[in-house]
Amino acid sequence: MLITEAAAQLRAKRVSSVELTRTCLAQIEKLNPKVNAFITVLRDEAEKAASERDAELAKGVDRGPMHGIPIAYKDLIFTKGVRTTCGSKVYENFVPDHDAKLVQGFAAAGAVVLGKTGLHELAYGITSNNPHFGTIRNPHDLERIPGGSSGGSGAAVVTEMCFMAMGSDTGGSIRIPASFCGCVGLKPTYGRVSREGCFPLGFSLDHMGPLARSTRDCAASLEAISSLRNSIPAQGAASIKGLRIGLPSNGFLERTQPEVAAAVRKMADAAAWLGAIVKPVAVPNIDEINAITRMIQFVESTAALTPFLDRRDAFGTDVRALLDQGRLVSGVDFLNAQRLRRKYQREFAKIWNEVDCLFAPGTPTTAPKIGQTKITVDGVEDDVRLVTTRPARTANLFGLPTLSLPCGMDPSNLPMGMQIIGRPWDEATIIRIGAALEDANVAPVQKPAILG
Amino acid sequence: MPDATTPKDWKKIAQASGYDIPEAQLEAISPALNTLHNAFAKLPAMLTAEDDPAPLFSPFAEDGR
Repeated sequence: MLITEAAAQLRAKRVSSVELTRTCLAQIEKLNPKVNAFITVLRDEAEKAASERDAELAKGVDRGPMHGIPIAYKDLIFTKGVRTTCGSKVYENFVPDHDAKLVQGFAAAGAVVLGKTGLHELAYGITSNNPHFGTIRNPHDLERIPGGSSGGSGAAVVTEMCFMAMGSDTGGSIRIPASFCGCVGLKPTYGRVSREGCFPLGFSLDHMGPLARSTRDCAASLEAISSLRNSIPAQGAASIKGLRIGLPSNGFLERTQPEVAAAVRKMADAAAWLGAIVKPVAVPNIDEINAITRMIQFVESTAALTPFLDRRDAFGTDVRALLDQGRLVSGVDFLNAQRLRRKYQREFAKIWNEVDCLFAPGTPTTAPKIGQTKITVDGVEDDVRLVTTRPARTANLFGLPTLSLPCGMDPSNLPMGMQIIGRPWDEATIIRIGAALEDANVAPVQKPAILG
Repeated sequence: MPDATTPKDWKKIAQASGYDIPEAQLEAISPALNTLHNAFAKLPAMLTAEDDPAPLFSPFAEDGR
């Protein structure tokens, strides 16, 4: 069931929030031991909140589309009185004395909080293979990673443990798990959703956003915590006629698993069939953009963790290595990276004169195996993290809104994902395109077999 | 004088900065740092004096920060 469907059924009194919540809790009890999506489950609190939301609806108090909907937060989002570990040893006993601003937003919108989802340690990685809270597993194949860093959120959504889980995205951390797990992820424009009360990994690169089972569910979630309004198209009425869609002629579709590239092109063909104008577009060099982004992230992430850098044993091997690399970047290189950021931002923005959005792979491959460190694409072997984040970082550097949308299954029966990258502040257009493609049912994604 | 693309000696940089990064760790992270440095080092040459930085990148944030 989707948020939009549950919202209708709640109002028709065909289901209650308590029933929805108990169904999710039962799913957590059944499947969390297998996938390890949740770090903290708030069973009693969730049932109490659901009961209150039902009572409100009975009295005619309706807080909107998220009213009574069971959701979860990535465990780097501050929740008052509830442990917020950031998936780390350094924050393992951290109990915030206030809610994040987005948590306040969902509370006002009437959402029911089921708990906190697991993540890659400190959100600094893409595997969600967490040395402190255990390995999070991909529900489609338990021997594979769910992606990260919001791996618990992606796994929880596709196993129907919750209707939506919030994630954060510094270098693809919403879009990568959405792609590997086969759900929708929406990284909004930088600044659209408050980062107040969210652990910072990259001050100028962090974006908070939802992972859910449909584009409309992501849009409803985003509207609850931002100024975005009227972005949710009516079912079957998401027209994309005349919209200009760019298919990158360089960069994004290179060094990509052939099935993934073909799936993205198939989605572009479907968009054209629905009336959009699809055209090739040249984009600035994304490998240079990635080098700039990584230079900035190294420094911002190490700076964010400065108080803990002398506790070397508190970090997992991979995170410790990244933090050490950040210490060795020079101030001149960091500042030049910022200067280059603005220069490339201007170059990239010229694309919006030609097209309204870009189609690109969500990830260049489907989910790698747990423990896999190298991957070969187009005959070139490279680091899994670098390959996976390659098409993602551009949207972080320039703060661009990006929808990660499932686009079919590969021959190994693993989900493939694509990105729809939009103009700053134009979430409405990418939501419209995602909804139209979903309505057309172009590339159905199978549910994980463990759902039975 | 070395140009921007001259490989950096990460061990010396760590020592000079007083960082307590073990030698084995420096050995382990040097290849990744070299790869990033090689990808990045040529880019600043395209900058002009008019290219000012974006150290507080904020495209009209709505989050009240």
